Amino acid sequence: MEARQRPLLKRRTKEALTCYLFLAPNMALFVTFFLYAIVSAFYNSMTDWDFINPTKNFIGLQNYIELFGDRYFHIAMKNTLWVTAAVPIGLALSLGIALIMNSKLVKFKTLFRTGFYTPVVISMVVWALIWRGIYSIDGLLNEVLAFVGLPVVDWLGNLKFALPAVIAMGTIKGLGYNMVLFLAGLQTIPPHLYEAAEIDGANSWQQFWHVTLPGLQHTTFFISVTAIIGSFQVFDQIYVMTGGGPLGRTEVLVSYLYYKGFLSWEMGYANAIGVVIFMCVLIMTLIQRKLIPSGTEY
Amino acid sequence: MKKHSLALFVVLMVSMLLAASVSAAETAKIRVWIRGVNDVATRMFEEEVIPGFEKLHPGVEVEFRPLTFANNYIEIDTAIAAGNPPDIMTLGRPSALKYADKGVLLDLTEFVKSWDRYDDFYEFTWTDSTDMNGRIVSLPVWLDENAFIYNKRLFEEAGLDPNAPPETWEDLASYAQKMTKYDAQKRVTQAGFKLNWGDWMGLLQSVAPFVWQNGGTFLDEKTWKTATVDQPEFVEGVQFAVDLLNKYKVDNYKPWGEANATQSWIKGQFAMQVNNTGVLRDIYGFAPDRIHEVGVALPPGRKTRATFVGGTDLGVAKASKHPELALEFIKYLYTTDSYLVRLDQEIGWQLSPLKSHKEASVKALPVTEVLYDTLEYGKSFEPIPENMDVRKRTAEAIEETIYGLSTPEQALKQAAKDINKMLQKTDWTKKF
Repeated sequence: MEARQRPLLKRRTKEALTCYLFLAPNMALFVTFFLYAIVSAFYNSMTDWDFINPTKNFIGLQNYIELFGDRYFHIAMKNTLWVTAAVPIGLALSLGIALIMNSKLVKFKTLFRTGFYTPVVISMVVWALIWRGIYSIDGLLNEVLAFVGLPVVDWLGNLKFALPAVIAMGTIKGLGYNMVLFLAGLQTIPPHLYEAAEIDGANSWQQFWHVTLPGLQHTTFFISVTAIIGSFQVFDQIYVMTGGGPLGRTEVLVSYLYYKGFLSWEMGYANAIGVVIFMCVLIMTLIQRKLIPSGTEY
Repeated sequence: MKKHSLALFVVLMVSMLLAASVSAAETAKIRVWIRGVNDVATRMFEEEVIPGFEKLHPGVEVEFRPLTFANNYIEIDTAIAAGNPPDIMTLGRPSALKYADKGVLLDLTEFVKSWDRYDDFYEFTWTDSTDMNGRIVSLPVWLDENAFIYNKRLFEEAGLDPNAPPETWEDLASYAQKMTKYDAQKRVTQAGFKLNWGDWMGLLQSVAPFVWQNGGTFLDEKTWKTATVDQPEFVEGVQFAVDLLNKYKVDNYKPWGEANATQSWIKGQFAMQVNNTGVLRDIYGFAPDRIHEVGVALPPGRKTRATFVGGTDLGVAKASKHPELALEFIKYLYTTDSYLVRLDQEIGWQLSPLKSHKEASVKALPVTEVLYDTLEYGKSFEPIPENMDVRKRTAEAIEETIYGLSTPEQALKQAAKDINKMLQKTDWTKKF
């Protein structure tokens, strides 16, 4: 009996070792660039590190206390939450486009799919520069508005419109990516479910509500989690299009973190902002996990 | 056989190590990082300045790295944070004090004061390079004076004398209104006076001259410990700048992403502007056939005349392994007159901080004469490390008034409170 078990154990150990060896390069990268970075960010957030000097004095929760009394942080947090609040709009639009692309009514599907997906492959900086031109006081959008007799707006210089304009631009950029994921999700829904629903007398809306949406549960969860995480990471477009202005109306958490860490040399404080972003994303993801029931497969 | 191979390997490694250490002992390397240099200036460094210096100092190697204005600070900061700063670095004039405050820069007082070039520098240039302890922490390498640039053709079209730029605020407002044009949507298509927006710094550089011309200051210039942005002279200066936009409507307010000023000038989109000399260089470069349309003067005044003078300084890292060589290199760069004059011109028609360079500089670019002659009216940032924060908060207050969220009095009163609160945190004992 023992003689039989030994080779089995040996083989298992060998297999495990092989697995770990294959995992090692990835784990090394993960530990170095992610785990270490996350742990050190937590520590740095409790120091007065200025980035220029290596000295890091431990100051406990001082940065967090200051953070919650910092009105610029409040503005950045509020604006970031607006970006997050716009995520469902992007999701709904992407789903709508995916449904249209999936239907048999649309012709030239490949052309449209390419069109919707093109912004995804364009760098955010280039995309933002293009849209800065479109939103300009004498840009394309205003020319169209003027042509149809509507008043022109300085979209990025207007206190009310600057943030919605930046959000809209980001949403349009993300449509194609989400559309492709939804399309993939739609194609995994078994056709017999629709046939059964049809036999039961379900109309299109009922089919969408009771078959399509539940069938896309996992896709929706994945897209919404990544989109919400993305909404907390918004930076490039702000840096290029508005610099956080006018009057901080488009300042978001990451642009404020950048300002504090790299321009104002308050790296400890910037790390505290980073930790807050991490916590927000974590909480949002946990809430989503609770809201979307798991375990049901179609 | 194996033993022999091992012995051979050991001998080889030891010889390589010895060779490396001998070569390291023989060669001293200094690293020089300069921002804003174009291809011509880079070639000048690589083909003339550095070979010339290395010839004079055998065994010394100079590693030159051109940086852009955009990546200068992030590169320098990262190098400093990594404990490996360049020996010589370029810093914006107001920023040098911030770096000095963090203990990054070498105290140059002794070097500068014992240098025979010391008296050749314009006296005022030392204000920005001297910290609160009276230590000279950086050396001005080029000055960037904001000039009053105007379009003579548009003056003529509006029936104004193209050789008589505005002298007072009243002239400025009146001329600007005469030359402003709008489209059917009331958008400004030709700005009478273009404020140099772009970001908060651009906003401030546009508005600060009006404040100074009216006798206002950002801080109490005796102690530098108290904000004076709420004083009547300051408020009135801001009010005039805001009136240009909101009352006289001579320009659209653009808080970010200002179009290229050179292109705007060439397209005839503005009649008057206060901007840096780089714009002049570009107009001369891109539209040589339109040079006769360019007018250059000192910005208009009120109680006094004033304009903004910034520029770039050279700093030497305290962590430099060869500070004496770094200082030698600086001397070489300044002493060989033609280098600095040419560098200043290539960077963007910047002015030399040395009085003796004026003649050569003006000979090469006659348009700079008016700028040299008006350098005495130049003002810059406050000599405290927090000067950027002071200005950023003030710019925010100015923007609030532009958007009509509050009056200049209210916004600047709050800004003064915030600045004073911020300055209270400053460890003044350390600085004095």
